[in-house]
Amino acid sequence: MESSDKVVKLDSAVISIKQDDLNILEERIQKLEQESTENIATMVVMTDKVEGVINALIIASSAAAMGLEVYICFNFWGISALRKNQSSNRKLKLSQKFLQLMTPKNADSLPLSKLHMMGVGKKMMSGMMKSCNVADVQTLMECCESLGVHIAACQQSMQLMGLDKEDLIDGVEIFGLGRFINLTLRGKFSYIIS
Amino acid sequence: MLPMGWGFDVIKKDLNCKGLNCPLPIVEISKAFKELAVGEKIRVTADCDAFIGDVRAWAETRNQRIIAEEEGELSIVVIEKTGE
Repeated sequence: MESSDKVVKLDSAVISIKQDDLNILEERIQKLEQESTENIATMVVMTDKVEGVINALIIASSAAAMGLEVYICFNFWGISALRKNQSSNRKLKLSQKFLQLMTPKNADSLPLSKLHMMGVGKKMMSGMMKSCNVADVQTLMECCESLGVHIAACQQSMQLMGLDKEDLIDGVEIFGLGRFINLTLRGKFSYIIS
Repeated sequence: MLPMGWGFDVIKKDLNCKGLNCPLPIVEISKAFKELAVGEKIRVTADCDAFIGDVRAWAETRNQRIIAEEEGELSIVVIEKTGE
């Protein structure tokens, strides 16, 4: 029958292919493998406002729950979210002391970007969020840690504010831009929360 | 209600996510999955509106299988681990 001539029985078919063509195919597969992305996501948090940090941590923990390896880097004002509530004994320049004094001391004292009203607005907002079961910064930080999210701080921002590794919460890595760009290129997406 | 006999006797873990809003339920599921072996099942209860959509997307991305789901004010989902 004509139609049976066109049916290919794969277990008994013999395919002959020239070595050159095979080499070309292998090269193309290699190139595709190099260009395909890994399950990595990177994020940068520039803001110290509480809704920005909560947003970033929600995205980071969701991405980690979906199986991505997440690297989240806090720089500029964002580094306030990583501070531990302790005063350091080191000698600091006046400008560094000023910065440390005038920025939030830990993750719980991050201000609202709007309607902060000297802390009254923040307190009201925290109450509203709690009654709606929106997670706060501490809970989200713990979620991120338990899912293996890499939390990092920017070296330059730390130097600006005179912060050392001991002034930050445990588990914070120090990141350089080279590593960050490498991960971004290999990864699937990159967000900046400013 | 889900009918009895749907593997209820071999549910390894019961996860109560009532009162947790997105993304905490799928975060908790991810954490619990690390302790499961392939083939074991987990039952998750949650009351978040976005939960049922979240957990379906999670199962699709992570290549795990949802065996049973009940949608409503209180959503119940049974997930089987089919791989790492």
